[in-house]
Amino acid sequence: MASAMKNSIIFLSQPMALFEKKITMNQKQNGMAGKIILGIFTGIVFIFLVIPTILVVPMSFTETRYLVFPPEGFSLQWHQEFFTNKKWVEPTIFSLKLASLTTVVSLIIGTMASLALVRGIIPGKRIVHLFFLSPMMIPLIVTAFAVYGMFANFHLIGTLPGLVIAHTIIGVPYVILIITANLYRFDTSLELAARNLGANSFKTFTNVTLPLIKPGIIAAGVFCFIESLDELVLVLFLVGTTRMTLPLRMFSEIEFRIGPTVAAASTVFIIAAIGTIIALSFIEKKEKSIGLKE
Amino acid sequence: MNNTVETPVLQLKRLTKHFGDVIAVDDVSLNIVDGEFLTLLGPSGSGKTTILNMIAGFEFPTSGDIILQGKSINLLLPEKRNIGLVFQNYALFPHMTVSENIAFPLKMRKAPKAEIKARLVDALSLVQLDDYGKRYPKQLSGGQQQRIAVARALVFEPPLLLFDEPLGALDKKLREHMQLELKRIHTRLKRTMIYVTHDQEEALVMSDRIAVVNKGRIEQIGPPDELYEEPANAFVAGFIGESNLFEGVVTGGKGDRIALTLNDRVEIMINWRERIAVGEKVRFCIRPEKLFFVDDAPADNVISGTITESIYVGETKRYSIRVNDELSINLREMSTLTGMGRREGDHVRIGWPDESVKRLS
Repeated sequence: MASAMKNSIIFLSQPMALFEKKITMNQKQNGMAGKIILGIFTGIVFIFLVIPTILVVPMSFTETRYLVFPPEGFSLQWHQEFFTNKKWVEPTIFSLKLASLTTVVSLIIGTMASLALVRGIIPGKRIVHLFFLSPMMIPLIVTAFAVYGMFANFHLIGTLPGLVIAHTIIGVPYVILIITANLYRFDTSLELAARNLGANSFKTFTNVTLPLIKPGIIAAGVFCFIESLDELVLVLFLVGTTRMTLPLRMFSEIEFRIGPTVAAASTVFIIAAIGTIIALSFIEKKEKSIGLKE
Repeated sequence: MNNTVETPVLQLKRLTKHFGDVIAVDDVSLNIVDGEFLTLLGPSGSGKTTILNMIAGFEFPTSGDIILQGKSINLLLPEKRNIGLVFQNYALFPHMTVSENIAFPLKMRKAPKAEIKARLVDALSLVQLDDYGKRYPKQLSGGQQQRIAVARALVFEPPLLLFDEPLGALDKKLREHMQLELKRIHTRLKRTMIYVTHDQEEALVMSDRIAVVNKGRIEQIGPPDELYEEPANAFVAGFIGESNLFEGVVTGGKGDRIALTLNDRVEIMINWRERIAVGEKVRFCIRPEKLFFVDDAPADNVISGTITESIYVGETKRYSIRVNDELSINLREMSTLTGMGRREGDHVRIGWPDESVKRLS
């Protein structure tokens, strides 16, 4: 579920933005036609991506012991089960811990790498840049297999640090993608101004550079968090036998029997995702009001 | 006994900067005394901004010395130089309020809170934006942002203040207003300032002295009137104000007058004080406003031609007078004098006073 949300955010937001720009340009020329095309396009996206996700919500309130649509009766028992049964609570807490640590580590490594890639003098910079992004392009199963072989040697299988490292591998490219875009647009005269006014290079970074790329860091952090929370392939290889993440619990639950608790877990995910998007739009609104973003 | 020789606030000694094969700044030497307003005036790419960047510490000189208050600052990091700088695009921190922007240099110097507060009030009132402390830069107009940038550069009381084309982004009216405003601040604070611009009018209005920079070198340095009245060479004559440039060969002379041939065609007599031999080449210029129409009989200092263009520009009227294929002269006269009905195609004779002929190197 979260996967659908995340993918729709990542893969649709950019083409959609381009599309919107084209539409507004067309509007000047032929008025309504553009609006209609945009409406149809949005409708198709809505039907194929959002509706199936939202249908899960009513299904989680069913009284039956199996998933059914339309739901029969109304009951909160599956939500209660998700929040109280150790079988669900423990994997959820473990997943949140994993996602939080992954986010922090990915942001630190990714931001430092972005600074080096944009500002540094590195021979073969473009190739190095592509290399940093390569985990995005390599099929996850290949990464998982490669990491599995190496982690086995270091006894990292089934450990939290092992999973954090694995998820950081796929989190860092997201961070680099977003932060480098931020840094290329960055007005470097602001940093010169800070130096001129008496800030050394470290204070310039903490007082000027960091606050100004903060929107990018927040966005990158959200992507990393969702990516880790949602990831299953690497987890399947590396989780071992003693640990359980939430997606893995859901997956094994679906394999075993399709119980409504999976739908309840999904509902919680969806609400959390919507909450995050609303929070982000509030931050954006504040930034627009002081002119940090146009 | 008073020390009559003032020690300069800033000295540039044979300053040179190479970027690869390009020589951006070529052997520039300069002294700036306390309280002076000096303008580096030159076309874009002349090296004036590179000079400023080296003073601020953003570029390191290839050779030469920068001496601030008697100490070489060549190797000092920008944050250790204590020099104020107003950027072309203002460079206000967009995520900080006006107050936070102005307090930034004081915070970096770890000034006590009470002092920061007092100086903040002073700085805001100096630029007449007392009530704008809580706003963000993007909520201010271009002129207001500019004034905040000036306040931020002044608030830590640097011995030297640099301006990098700070009025370039403003419209003409606002620019003229800001020129006077900066001039007022300079008069009030008596702070030493170096101002970089490509706008000669701005330079004339604001400066105590102007250094005309071209191709990395200083062509001439002096007070505005001196540069305007006595340009050292063709570049200065052409860059500051309008100029008619002449090149001729000496054919004879009597007393302090010489006869010249311009472009092998036109014979004229002009005033010339220095000794000069027949056959030598001379270059000189005459400002368009020093020229006037003459109707009288033959005389010295006269040249004739045809009006090819007359443009009315408010207080003055400009004429373009074609002498021959290679020589065209611009003449400007007050609009109040243009009742004579001169128009395009008219054959005219123009003259000039002796002292308006300026010899160029």
